[in-house]
Amino acid sequence: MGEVIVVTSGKGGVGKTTTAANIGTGLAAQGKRVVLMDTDIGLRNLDVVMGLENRIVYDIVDIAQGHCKLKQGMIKDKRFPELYLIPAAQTKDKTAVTEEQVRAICNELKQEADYIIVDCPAGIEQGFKNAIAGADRAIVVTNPEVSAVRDADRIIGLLEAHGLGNPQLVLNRVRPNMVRQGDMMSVDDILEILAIKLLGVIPDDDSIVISTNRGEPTVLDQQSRAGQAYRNIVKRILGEEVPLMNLEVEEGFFARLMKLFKGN
Amino acid sequence: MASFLQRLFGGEKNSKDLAKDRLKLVLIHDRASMSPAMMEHLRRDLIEVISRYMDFDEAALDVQMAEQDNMTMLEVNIPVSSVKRNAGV
Amino acid sequence: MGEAVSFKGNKDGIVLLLDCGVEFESLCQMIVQKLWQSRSFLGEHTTLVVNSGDVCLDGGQRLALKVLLQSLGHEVKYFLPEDSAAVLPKQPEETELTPSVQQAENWNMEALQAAVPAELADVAHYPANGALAVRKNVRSGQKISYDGTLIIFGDVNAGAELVATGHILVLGTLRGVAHAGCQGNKQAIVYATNLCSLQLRIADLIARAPDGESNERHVPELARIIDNYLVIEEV
Repeated sequence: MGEVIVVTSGKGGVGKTTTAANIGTGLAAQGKRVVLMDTDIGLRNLDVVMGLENRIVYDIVDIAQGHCKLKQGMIKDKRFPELYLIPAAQTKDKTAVTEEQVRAICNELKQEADYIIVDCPAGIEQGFKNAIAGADRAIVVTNPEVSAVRDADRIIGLLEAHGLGNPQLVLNRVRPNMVRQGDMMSVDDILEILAIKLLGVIPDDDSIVISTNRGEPTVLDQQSRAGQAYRNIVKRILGEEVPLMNLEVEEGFFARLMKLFKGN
Repeated sequence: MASFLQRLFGGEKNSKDLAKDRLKLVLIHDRASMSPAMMEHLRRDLIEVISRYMDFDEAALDVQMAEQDNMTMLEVNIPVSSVKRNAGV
Repeated sequence: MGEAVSFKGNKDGIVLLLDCGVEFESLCQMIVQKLWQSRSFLGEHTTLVVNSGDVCLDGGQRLALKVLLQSLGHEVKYFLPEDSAAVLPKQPEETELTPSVQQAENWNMEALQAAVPAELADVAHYPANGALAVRKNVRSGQKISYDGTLIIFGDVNAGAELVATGHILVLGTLRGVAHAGCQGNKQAIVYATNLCSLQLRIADLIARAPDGESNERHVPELARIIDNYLVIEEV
């Protein structure tokens, strides 16, 4: 019996889709059977992040409304044999599926897959309710910004109200330099405020932009620091104890010396 | 450099501390807010309890959350018509 | 030099004179404009001779022109100059390219309006032959379904969807999904002046763009079914 994990945030643009794609791909790279499901109907993106946009024939609305079988609506990934994507519909709106339909799809997928990763739309309306309908647990993504943390707090409250207590936090786009200078809230600052369990911290990394351009999740890039952070998250989901990685970029002696003189 | 020195001598707060303080204040308010459904529950419970002790116009019972001096206040206004003399005894 | 598109009469009727010094895609746009301006003189249904002067249009271009003209309500009698090597490919020639007469008769304003999303409501329609023409860029999330031939004057962005029982012509860039002959008409074609769709469908066949690099080539292309394969060729 598989597990349904919803990736949510409240605020848009904090990295939900990137996180869902990387966790799903990372789990598949560990040999798990994974289905990624995009519930952001009308604004689908998981397909382009995964580089599977040219294979879409059916979408979640077609599955929900019985226009195709579940298997037909699952797009096979090009990298891993046991990784599938169920894309959102682009030309319909959030009310095209119901909570019951999403729950039914999740329950059917749980029979076959180890993990079902649900990418949730921004906001707290029907799309959010649909996304969490079949979920067993939740991951909340946020950035070290006042607006994103505030929305994360709201989402945590709503998740609890819908029976998804104890969500785990992914803190995305952390810039260690700014944290060190006192211009960005640290992991501890945010955990103090939100008071939930930390699943992982992703450094702000150019490789995310590049990998999204290519449609190749960063988690597969062995050189990328963000990729390493996602690989650690995947291991934690699988139950391994992995210490938080050191986000500081190793600096040479000369760079440190320059800093000393510059005084920052 | 200037801002660094300012910080060093305590002239200016780190922007992250500012963010944290603002966030904490905002969240106090956010977390104290009640949904309309919860307010309705509270109203019904209040009516049930208070009507054991006094007679009043239920329609006139007014329940509100308000902000006052950085505190969240629950304001309840009940126009009482008469007190039940032997209630609760 | 005169206009790139003009009319002349000969013994066989009205001749559409084309100056093929102009790029084919601009030529198509000009033809549509010219026909629209001349609609009172041409009438609803006219049989035209297409004369491309010194240049011989190839098979794909002829097919695209034929579909374009038919979707505006006109028939092509023959092409000049004649070129035995560049006659219309056999299969499409034999088939009925126009939407059926019945479709044309069933055409009405309400059906057109129902087919177009509200945000595209201010588009111009060509009632002829039941073809629907949309003068607008079609953006992500917008879908146009139509029972008949669909012509878009503008770009169709990725994430947009065109579905037609007949042909689909895009005088602009087609990046979104286009499904021509959606009720099984294998003679339907998809034509775009810049065809870089991620996915094309004709009848029950689906073709998708190869993985990897984007393929914006800026050449007019035409997709159709030949021997049960979806073939895309330059025109």
